[in-house]
Amino acid sequence: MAGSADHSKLYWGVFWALAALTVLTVGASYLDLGHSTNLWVGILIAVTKASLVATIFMHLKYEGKLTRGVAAFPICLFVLLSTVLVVDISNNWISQFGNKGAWSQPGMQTSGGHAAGGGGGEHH
Amino acid sequence: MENVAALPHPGVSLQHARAKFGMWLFLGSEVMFFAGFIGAYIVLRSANPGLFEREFAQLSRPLAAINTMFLIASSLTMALAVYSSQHGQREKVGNFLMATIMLACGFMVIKTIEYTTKFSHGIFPSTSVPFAIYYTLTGFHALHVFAGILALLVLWGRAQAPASATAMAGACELVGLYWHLVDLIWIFLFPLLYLLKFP
Repeated sequence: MAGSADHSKLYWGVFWALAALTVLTVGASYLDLGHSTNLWVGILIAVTKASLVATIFMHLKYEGKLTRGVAAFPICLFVLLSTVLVVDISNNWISQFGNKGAWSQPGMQTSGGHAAGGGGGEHH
Repeated sequence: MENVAALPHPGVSLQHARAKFGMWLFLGSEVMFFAGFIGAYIVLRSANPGLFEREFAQLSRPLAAINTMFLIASSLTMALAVYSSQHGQREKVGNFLMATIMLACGFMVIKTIEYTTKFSHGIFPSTSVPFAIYYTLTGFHALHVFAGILALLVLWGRAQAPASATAMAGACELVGLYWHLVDLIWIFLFPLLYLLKFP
């Protein structure tokens, strides 16, 4: 039982870290760092939070290689999927659709009931 | 310092080790389930970032932030429930499980408020592509929260009745893993839907 007394303290520590990171990510989203920086800061904070949950709360830190591998495999597939998508989008779509967005044709409805045509991508 | 959470501690059977491995495989399939939708989100949003930004500006950041806190707190109480179950503290297990259920219900109440507010403004999944993917992602996540609440209720019932401490610890850990994944998925959905803007 060595260290067992510390374990609930560790969980509380992780909770406060997660809460602080949540406040940080909400705060950062209000800062105008540029869309790219905002995006990466948000993703970085989310990955940090997820790592804390997976390693400490889900005990992945203490699991064997096989379990870690099972956990890592779908994450690798997801990263691969996202990377391929982003590379494809940035290489091909911009040249094909310019700043207008791939499906911002006139007549596209939005929740305001107005057409969204040509409105996409004005933040490039 | 080999950890108690590490297992095996005395009484943990091979059966539990197998069940836990099975749970990890299931969680892997859950990650891929959401990966498909998040992939669709990336494609759709990249295709028209401006429209997504305008539509998602109508989502409530404070409500989503409160919901994030609910889930994080529920992950803490779940971890403490698992910890208590591994130390045979039956009463604490029940209390922590109930706290987890309450926090999960809090999440669902806020999600319901969000949905009904949107519906009252005439915003449905068919309203626009951004809201279609918003309802798909948050809807499936809420469904997972609901399933988690059911599993937690069953577990809480078991914690009230005299049962084998080992069996309780095993079941608690399996449900705990699932619950943490539900939290983990929300950790990504929150910034993706409510906070971030695509370049």
